[in-house]
Amino acid sequence: MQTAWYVVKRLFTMLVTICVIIAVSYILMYLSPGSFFSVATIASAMSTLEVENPKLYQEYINSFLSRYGLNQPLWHQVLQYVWHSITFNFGNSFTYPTVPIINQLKTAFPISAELAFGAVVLGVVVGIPLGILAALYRNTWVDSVLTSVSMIGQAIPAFVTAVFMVLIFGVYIPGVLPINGWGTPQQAILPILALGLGNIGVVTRYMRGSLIETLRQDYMRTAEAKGVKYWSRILRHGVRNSLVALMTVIGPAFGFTVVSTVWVENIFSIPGLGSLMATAFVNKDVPLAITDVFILALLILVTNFLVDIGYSILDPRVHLT
Amino acid sequence: MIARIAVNQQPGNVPRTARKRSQWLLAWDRYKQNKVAVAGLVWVVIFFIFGVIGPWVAPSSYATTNYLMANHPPTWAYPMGTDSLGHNMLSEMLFSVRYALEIAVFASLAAFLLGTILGLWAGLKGGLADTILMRVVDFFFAFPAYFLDLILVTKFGRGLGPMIFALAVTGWAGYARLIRGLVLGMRNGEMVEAANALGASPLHLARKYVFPNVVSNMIIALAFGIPSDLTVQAALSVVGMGLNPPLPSFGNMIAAAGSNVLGYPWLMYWPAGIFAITLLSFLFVADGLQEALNPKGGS
Repeated sequence: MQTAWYVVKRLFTMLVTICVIIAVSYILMYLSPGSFFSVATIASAMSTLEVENPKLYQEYINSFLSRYGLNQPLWHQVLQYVWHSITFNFGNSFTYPTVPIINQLKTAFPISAELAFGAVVLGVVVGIPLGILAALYRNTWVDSVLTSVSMIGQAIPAFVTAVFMVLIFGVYIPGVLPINGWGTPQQAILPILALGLGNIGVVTRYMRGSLIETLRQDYMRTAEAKGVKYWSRILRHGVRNSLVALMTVIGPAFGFTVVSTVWVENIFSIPGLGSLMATAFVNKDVPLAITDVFILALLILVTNFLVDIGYSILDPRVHLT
Repeated sequence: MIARIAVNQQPGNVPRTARKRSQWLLAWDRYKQNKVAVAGLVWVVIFFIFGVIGPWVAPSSYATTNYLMANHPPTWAYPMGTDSLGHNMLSEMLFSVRYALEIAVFASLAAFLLGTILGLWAGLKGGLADTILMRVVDFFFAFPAYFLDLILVTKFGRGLGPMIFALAVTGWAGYARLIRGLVLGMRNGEMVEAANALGASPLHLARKYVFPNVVSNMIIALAFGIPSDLTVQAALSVVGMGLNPPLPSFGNMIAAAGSNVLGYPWLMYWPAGIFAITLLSFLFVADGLQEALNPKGGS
């Protein structure tokens, strides 16, 4: 019952947050000097169409005018836009007036989601054993190597790692792994690796700290006194308890990975939401840009929400409020 | 030297001044133990020195082009080679250091000041002001900063000023939340209660009691904030929304090198290499500060 109430409350907060995000984005874009939401901007974005098919062009102009209610007061436009967005009725973009935004998202979203989830999973799968290793051999050379490497992974943003990977696999050892495009499993290796290094660093460091803390607990000494075997003690008493705390870093790590995905997609020319976002912002394609931001923010919010729920299931001591 | 002047001018303050100095000296002693942090600090200092003198020692202006020498590998005249427009990459690098630091430092400081003031105010005042401010902070935490930065630079332009503004707007919430939490933790403490009982004004309380006790945490937060601003401003270039060319920046150079790396790899070595080392050094410094200033907490 308590959990159900919490879920309802969280969902409501999420809805409000996402509405505010869309509204703020819209207002910021709208209030620019030479507003992007004006017939002139739309017309200039579609200038080729104007020459090729004047009749269709006029049709699009009219549909944009009625869609965004450009002759209505601002608050009305904002409410209308927010309502359109949260009902996933995005309309068409400026650059590709014939293609509904939802169709562009349908092909781009799975790619970005795959990259982001893949990178977080990689971080968890590789980071946990490394963190355990660093904790068990703390203050030895193993620990210092692992800690330094994980700090490097955390400090260097994914786009720099990605550029280095392009250099290595494009110039030094060409032909081993593809350095651009999307479609085959091989093409996913480098981008996920570039995104995953940061996550591996975060998980390793957190796992190390958390396990060292757990190993100091009284129940670890009790287990030893009872005669529980070393590895059984470490894994079943130590690691399992540290894993729960690890859930708290997954949420923020995922959020950061989604943002990094935007960068990595642009370096590796992957047709995901990040590449879409780059073209949208550079071309001042406002509907596409805001929608893109909205979808990625939504992805982060929903994942964080699921992580929190999962955390409360794994650790009954956590009270959801 | 400073201590002696203080002694001569204000004899009454001697014990307090001495204790204050020694606290920072103790932290410095702890910091020195950490070799990696010292190495990071050395690099950060070098980076700052180049940020100050860079534009004067640069062989040419960042905007000088030489089309006859475009995309040329490193030579004596162009130690880091030239890019597709024939810019001398050495000049581009030196000016980039200046602009990168200018943006990151001023944006972080602005965010830091705004966040500190608002956080202190909300934490001490409580009530409705606190609730409203924290809702705003929550919004900034929910809106990924990078996306908001993208929207802000699209709207306000991609010069130095708008860049600093955008990063400051998205940066302050973190500092505000941190300091508010620290203040709330202290407000119920005995020290503040005693000061309150003696009739201290809120401003006096904030300046003399709360701030000195949270300042080390704030310094650590600022030390983590500067490299994060360096990263974000470079990352804006990756989607083509970075510092407006021809102004050079690490992001612009790295993004350009990323698409040209197959033909002209030297365009990448220096910008990406120096940028990576710099970020790492800043992180080592921040980590070292955390250990030195916060000996109680952390592993």
